Amino acid sequence: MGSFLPLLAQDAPAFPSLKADLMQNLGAAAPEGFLCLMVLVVLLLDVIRHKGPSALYPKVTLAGIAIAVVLVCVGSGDHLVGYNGFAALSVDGLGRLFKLVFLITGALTVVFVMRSGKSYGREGEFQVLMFGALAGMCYLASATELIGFYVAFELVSYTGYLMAGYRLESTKGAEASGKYVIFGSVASGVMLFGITLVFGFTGSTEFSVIAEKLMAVDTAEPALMVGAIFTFAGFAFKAAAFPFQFWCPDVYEGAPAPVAGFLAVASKAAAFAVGLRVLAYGVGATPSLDALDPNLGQLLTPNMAFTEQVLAVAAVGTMTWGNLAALRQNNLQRMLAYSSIAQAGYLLMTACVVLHADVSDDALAAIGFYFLIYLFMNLGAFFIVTLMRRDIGSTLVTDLRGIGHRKPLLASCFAIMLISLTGLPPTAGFVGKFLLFAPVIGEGLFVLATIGLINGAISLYYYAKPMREMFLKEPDETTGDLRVVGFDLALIVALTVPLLFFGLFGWDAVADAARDAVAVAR
Amino acid sequence: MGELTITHFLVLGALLFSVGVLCVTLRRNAIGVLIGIEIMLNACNINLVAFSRYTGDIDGAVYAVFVVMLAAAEAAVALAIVLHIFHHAASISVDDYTEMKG
Repeated sequence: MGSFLPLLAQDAPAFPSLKADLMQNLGAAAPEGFLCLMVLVVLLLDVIRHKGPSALYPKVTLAGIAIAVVLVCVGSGDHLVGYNGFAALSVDGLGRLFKLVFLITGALTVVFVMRSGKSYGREGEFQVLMFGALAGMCYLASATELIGFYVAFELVSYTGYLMAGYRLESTKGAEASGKYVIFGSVASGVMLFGITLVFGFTGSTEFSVIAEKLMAVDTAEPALMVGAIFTFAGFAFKAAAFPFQFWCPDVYEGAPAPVAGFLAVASKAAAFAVGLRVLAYGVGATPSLDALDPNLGQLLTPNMAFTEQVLAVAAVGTMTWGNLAALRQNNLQRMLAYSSIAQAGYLLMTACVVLHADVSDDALAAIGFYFLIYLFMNLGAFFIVTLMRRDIGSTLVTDLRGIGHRKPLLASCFAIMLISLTGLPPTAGFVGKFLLFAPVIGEGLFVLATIGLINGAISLYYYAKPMREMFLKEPDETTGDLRVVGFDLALIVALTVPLLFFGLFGWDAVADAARDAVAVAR
Repeated sequence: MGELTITHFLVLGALLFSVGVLCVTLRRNAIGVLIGIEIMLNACNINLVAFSRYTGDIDGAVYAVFVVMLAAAEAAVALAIVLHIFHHAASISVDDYTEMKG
């Protein structure tokens, strides 16, 4: 086991190999490095220009994100990058898939902010925060040890706090960012205390060593378990999972709608990316169990079974609480906040079976693929909210009354997004939900799957509410009209097309591609 | 009475962490809550340095340095946000931040 400071280690290699390692390591972290560079570039640009609103910043940001996407895509292979036997970063399919999710979400968010019709002369700062958040998230997706993970995790948190309060004149925005920063800091403090215990009792900051020791058969060290649970609390907070979901509705309602969409998709995906990696290492760490008695199939160690129970309780609580609370919401933005909590519940349900070696890859693929389509449907819905705020000034469900008669194309696209969020055919949401439920049912967790299906039925009620307003109610004079034409409409259609495409075609291709894409480097 | 062992440091860390949690939950003043959070982070630092010393491995001490740095960044961000709220609510009591409910 290498030390974090390799030069202090006894077997420090000679200088030429240091240089070679450095180049290789920098290459592995190219997307993150580039995003950090863009933070500085935009910050300098903002200081130099300082001329108030400018259309330049969003373009710079979109160009930067495009280059980062290219850097992610050209990276290939599945290997760990580190120094002197110490793995600090992994370059693998799971990381790449999640990085693409973050970057696409970031690009769409920047476009949404641009189209939100609000300009405060501080665009440059928002782009700085966006690049910072993306750099942190991308690092999280491939981090394999605790120190880098913690720094990236906090980078994502701090930029998120500031983005939530980005609309300076909004009292609700200030309250949202205040609640987010206080709850968030407490959660990360609790997580850090857990991490210190985990670090102390496993003696390593590497995820692979930690997962191995946590999942091993005979370590029922109470302090280690307390540490693991505290650490889980931090993840659960970031992913807005039960019982740490209470901050979520207020923050998502008070934050600007594009930012709420960004937090609901990218921030959540970042927490899942790290959590899944740790679980995947846990599976890889116990290969010898099958060898004990092949007839038994895979045996879960007591600690693995305990982890599965914790995740199952969190999953059931998250989806049920989210769906039940969403039922009585009239504000579309707040309803989407609860809906995003419920969606995290379905993902946690599938995360339970990542520990089962035989369906581990299926479960990882299902979660990765679900984030990819969740991005389109959820961001699309938050974009509709952004446009409602811009054109009507209110985001109540009843403000959508009769839109289906006035703007049939827009209303149809929104309806497809809502159907997809519910998980009904013929949309990508159905394929995604099917892939999420298949491994859970396959592993015989019928109670969990049944609760998930009942929740899906409950969610139909509130997802249908906007559809009823749009199509079944006649428009009256009092309802404002959405001026959605040209670029806005094209964007909404563009977000809807993948939902129909994945829903109608390429079932098997999608599942196979996802399975290939989520290889985890060990 | 023996000499100091790692247990002493872990107990101190746990006690300090509890003080921080109490401070966060009982204080109604946003600045007080932030101080509570800083106390929690420092409890973590005690743990990290103690483990580092115990194992003879430098990882924990390095981690503690990162935590100190991030705690400073966090204080900057959090204080800026509290100041921003004060402009809106004219109060730094967390009980007054209740516009959104349900």
